[in-house]
Amino acid sequence: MPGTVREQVASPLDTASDQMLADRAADGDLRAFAVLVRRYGPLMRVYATRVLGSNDETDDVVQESFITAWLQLGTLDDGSAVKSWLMRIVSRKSIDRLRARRPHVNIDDTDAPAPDSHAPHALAEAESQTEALARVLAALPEDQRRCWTLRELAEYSYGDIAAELNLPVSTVRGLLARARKTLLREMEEWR
Amino acid sequence: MSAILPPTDELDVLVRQVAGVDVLYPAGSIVATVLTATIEAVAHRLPLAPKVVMEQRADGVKVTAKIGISAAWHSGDVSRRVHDAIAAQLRQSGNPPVAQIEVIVARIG
Amino acid sequence: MTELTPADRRFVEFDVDDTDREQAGLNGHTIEQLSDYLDRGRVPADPSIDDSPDCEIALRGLERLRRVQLSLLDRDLKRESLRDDNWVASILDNITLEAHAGRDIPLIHPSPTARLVVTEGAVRGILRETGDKLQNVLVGRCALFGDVGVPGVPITISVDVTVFPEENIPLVADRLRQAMYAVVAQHTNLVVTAIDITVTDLSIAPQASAQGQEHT
Repeated sequence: MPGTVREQVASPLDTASDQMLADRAADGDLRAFAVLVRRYGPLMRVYATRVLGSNDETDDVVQESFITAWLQLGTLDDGSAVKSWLMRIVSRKSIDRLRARRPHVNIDDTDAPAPDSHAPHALAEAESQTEALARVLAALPEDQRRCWTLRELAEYSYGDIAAELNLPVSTVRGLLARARKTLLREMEEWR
Repeated sequence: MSAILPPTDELDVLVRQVAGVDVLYPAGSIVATVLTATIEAVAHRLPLAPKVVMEQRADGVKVTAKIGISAAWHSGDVSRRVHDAIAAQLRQSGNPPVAQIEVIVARIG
Repeated sequence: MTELTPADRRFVEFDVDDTDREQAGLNGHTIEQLSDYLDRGRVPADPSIDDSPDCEIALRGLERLRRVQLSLLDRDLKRESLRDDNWVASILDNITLEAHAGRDIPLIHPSPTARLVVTEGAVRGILRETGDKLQNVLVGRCALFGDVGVPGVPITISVDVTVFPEENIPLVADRLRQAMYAVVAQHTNLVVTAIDITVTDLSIAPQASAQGQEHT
């Protein structure tokens, strides 16, 4: 039946190392690849949703990322690095989506309006801190959110973020600093 | 230049009936399509993709079948039976000059 | 510094655009520097940060931000993990074995117009299956060395395996080698002179077996 998944049977592959799974998948093993999809798909979905600002396109971006990964697995030298390699692919796909969505907006446009720094206290108190953080993140200017997400979810270095977004490292530092300061200031409002 | 003849459902049915053949894959290359097309396009294309491909070349017809076999059989035996079934079918249907009959075992088990 | 920093004292009100005001409020430091300091685990210790109550408040804020970030990630991951499995299926439905087919390995047929081959990918697949069928063995990378495209040319096979600790490694390797020779002979006309088995990783096994029991 289309769209259904075979019954989940516990297999030694489910707990195999990333290296083992990546090696097998590079040799063409679909079962190993499926374990990688289940293991890192959720993080990639969270990540793509965060970068894109909504989950409308998350399915597409994550699917495209895994198809690319499958085709290019042979180029991955160190199978134990498969997680960061996958995060890199989904980053690139997400950023491509953003560019395609708003071709007239320059990716290094840093003049996006800052979110309202004084959200209504009543609202802030009504939600948990995690929900509040999710809300503030969503309200960050796109370029700041992108840098923050690459740094905090994909664990990119400043240099990697700069290379990925085609920005000077100094700009990346500035964007990250602004994102952090905004988040810190907003958090003070939640207490 | 080789022309791709219309899809040959007859050969698809024939190859599927050969003992040991588990799966019949599209013999046309789809890697290039996957690389460039959107997921939706690929998903919609797959059911339409030719399975057994027959091409007319200058020196005769070329038939390509790509199969998956069950592990209990021997690849050599199953592919030979697929080849021989296709060859017999071609002889029955007009006996055209044959350039090549290619059978690819793409998966075992 | 003898002054105690009240836990509820507000973090300095700064302007996100004004570095001078920021530094003035943080004993000459910036939020970015403090964040890097936290990333380094606050070593080597910097007294100009550690002894500043304003920095302490900011660091506390950054740590809290990090905690909330983690719990947000945790919440999002839980939500994603609860989704049905259809998205996994649709990914797998859209990928093709062709990408990893490898080289064509000829199979013998008397007709000059016949071209019968088994793909390298198919052979690697059945070698993996053969290993996986043995108890307490998991096969990693399989590689065929030599010119597999020319019948009769001797080749070698190299296999990485994980063998679980309670197993007798030489015995398992020997059993695996025999089973692999048999399966290669069953599905190819290759002349295999050696199957090299490398036992790569034993450390995963205890964790794997523990988790395996949880699933059953």
